Amino acid sequence: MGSQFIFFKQKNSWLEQWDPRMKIVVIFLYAISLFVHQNTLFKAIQIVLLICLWAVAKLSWRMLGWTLLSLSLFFVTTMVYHMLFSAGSQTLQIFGFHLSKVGIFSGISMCLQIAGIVLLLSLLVRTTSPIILAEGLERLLSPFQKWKFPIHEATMMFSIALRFIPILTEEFEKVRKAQIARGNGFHRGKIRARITGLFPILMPMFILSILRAKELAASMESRCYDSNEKRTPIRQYRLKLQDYIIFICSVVLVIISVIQKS
Amino acid sequence: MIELDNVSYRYLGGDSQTWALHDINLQLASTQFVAFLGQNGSGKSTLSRLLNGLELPSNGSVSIDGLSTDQSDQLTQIRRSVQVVFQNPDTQQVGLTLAEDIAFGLSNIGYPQSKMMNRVKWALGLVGLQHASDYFVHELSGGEKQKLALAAVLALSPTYLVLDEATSMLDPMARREFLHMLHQIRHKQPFALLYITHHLDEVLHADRWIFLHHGKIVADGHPNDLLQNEDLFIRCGLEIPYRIRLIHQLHKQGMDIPWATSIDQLVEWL
Ligand SMILES: Nc1ncnc2c1ncn2[C@@H]1O[C@H](COP(=O)(O)OP(=O)(O)OP(=O)(O)O)[C@@H](O)[C@H]1O
Ligand SMILES: [Mg+2]
Repeated sequence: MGSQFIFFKQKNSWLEQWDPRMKIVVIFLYAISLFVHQNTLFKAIQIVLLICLWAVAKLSWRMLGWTLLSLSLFFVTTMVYHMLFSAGSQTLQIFGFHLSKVGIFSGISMCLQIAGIVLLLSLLVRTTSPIILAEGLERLLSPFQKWKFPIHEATMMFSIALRFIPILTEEFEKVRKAQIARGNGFHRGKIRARITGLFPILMPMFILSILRAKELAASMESRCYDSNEKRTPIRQYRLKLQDYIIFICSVVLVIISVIQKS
Repeated sequence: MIELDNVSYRYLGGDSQTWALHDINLQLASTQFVAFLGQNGSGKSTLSRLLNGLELPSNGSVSIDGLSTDQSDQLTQIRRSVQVVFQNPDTQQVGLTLAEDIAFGLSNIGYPQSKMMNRVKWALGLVGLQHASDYFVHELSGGEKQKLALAAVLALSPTYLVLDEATSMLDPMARREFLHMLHQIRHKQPFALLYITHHLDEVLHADRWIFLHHGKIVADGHPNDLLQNEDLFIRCGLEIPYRIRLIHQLHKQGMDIPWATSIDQLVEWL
C-alpha cells in the first residue's frame, strides 16, 4: 500500500479509522483550548500530547521535523518581537539589549500556540482522506440544509474537484512534455521567455480539462447520478463509547482552559 | 426490448452535412449478445450514447422497455436498466478509491447501506481487483481502470450492458478471462450484452452482428451468415482474423468447419 493523495497517505492507523465527524469536532475543541488559556506549561503539555498523537498516527518524524522547521522563521520573529517590545519591569540584559522577562514567556506561549494549530491541522489532513473529510463536514453541517444551504452539492463539487487534481497534473505533464519535444523553451532561459512559454501549455490544459469534465459528467449521469434524488450514504458512522469519552474529555479541556484564563 | 425508430444523429457544431448516425432502425432483445462492428468514426460510440439518454436523437426516437429517452423524468429508470462502459477509461471514475467509485453508482440507485460493501467486494472480485479496494483510482493502469469501469457497471446489475471497446486496453489473457467471466455472469443472471469492438474474435459466439458504416447499418444478421460475405468486411474496413480466412478457404474447398473452431481444433481437424 502506501498510496498517497495530496497530504493524505494510507497508514491504517487508529487515527485514520476514527469517525471523521468526531475527529473534526475534537480537533476544533483542542484548538479553542490552545487559544483560550495563557499558561505556557499547560500549552507545552498539550504540544507533547500532539506529538504523541503524531506517533499514534504512524506519521514520520522527518515530516514532523519539516513541519516545525518550516515555522522556524515565524518562531524567531515572534520571539524577537515579544522580547523587545513587551512591557514588564524585569529585564535581562544580553549583548546590551534589554529583554523583557514577561516577553520571553509570552513569546514562547505564542510560538507553542502556532505550533499547536499547525500540528492539529497536519494531523487532520494527513490522517483523513479528503473525501472522508468532506463527508464528515457534510454530516456535521447537515442541520444547515434545513435553511436551504446546498451542503450536499458543495460536498459533491469538492469531491469532484479533488478527483481532478491528479487528472490535471497528469495532463499538465503530458502537454508539458509534448511542448518540450517541440522545442518550447519555458523550462530554460529568461523569466520572460519562461512565462510566455507557459501559454502554449495552459491553453491545451484548459481545453483538455473542459473535455474531461464533460466526459466525467456523462459518466456520472450514466451511473444514475441525480442531485435531486436521495442517495444512500456510502459509509455509516456510529458513535462508540470511546467517542463519547474523548468528546467529554475535550469539553472538559475547554472548560479548564476558560477557567484558567479568568 | 430496445427500439430505435428512424434514429438520426448529428453533432452540434460538427459538419452540418454529415450525420454521425443516419436512419437507424433497430430492435434489440433483452437477453441477446449483440456485437456492433465498424471502422473508426462509423458511429458506434454515438449509438452507445443514445441508448441511455446521454444524447437525444436529432430525429426519430429511442425507447427502452417502452420508456422513451426524451422523457427526462424517466431517465433515471432508463439508466438503471441500460449501463454503458465508455471508450475512454480515464474519465469514468468518480470516486477517489476503487471502493468509493463502485459505491458511487450503488448509492445513486439507493442500494441498502448495510449490503453495500459486500456488493463492492463482489464487483471488484469479478474483475480480479478485490485486493485493491482502498487503492487510489489515479494510480491504476489503463487496463485496470477499464476493469474498474466494468466492475462499477456490473455492480448495478443492468438489464442491458453496453460495452464500448471496454476491453481495448486489457492484455489478451485478461481479455479472455474477462469475456469468460462476463458469459458466466450472464448465465446466472441474464442480461443483454451490446458489445462494440474491432476484434471479431471476441464476438464469434454472438447471437447477432450489426455492421455500421458511415453512420448507417449495412448488415445485420447471424455471424455464421455474415462471415460468408468477405466483401462486407472489406467494405467496412474490418480485418478478418487469419484463422477466419483459413476457415473461409477450407469452406471453399467444400469442408464444413464451424466458424468458432479454435486453432488447436483446426490443426486436429486438418
Ligand atoms: N463531439 C463530437 N463533435 C462532433 N463530431 C463528433 C463528435 N464525436 C464524434 N463525432 C463524429 O461522429 C462520427 C461518429 O463518431 P463515433 O465516435 O460514434 O465513432 P466510432 O464508431 O465510435 O469510432 P471509433 O471506432 O474510433 O471509436 C465521426 O465522424 C466523428 O467525427
Ligand atoms: Mg468509439
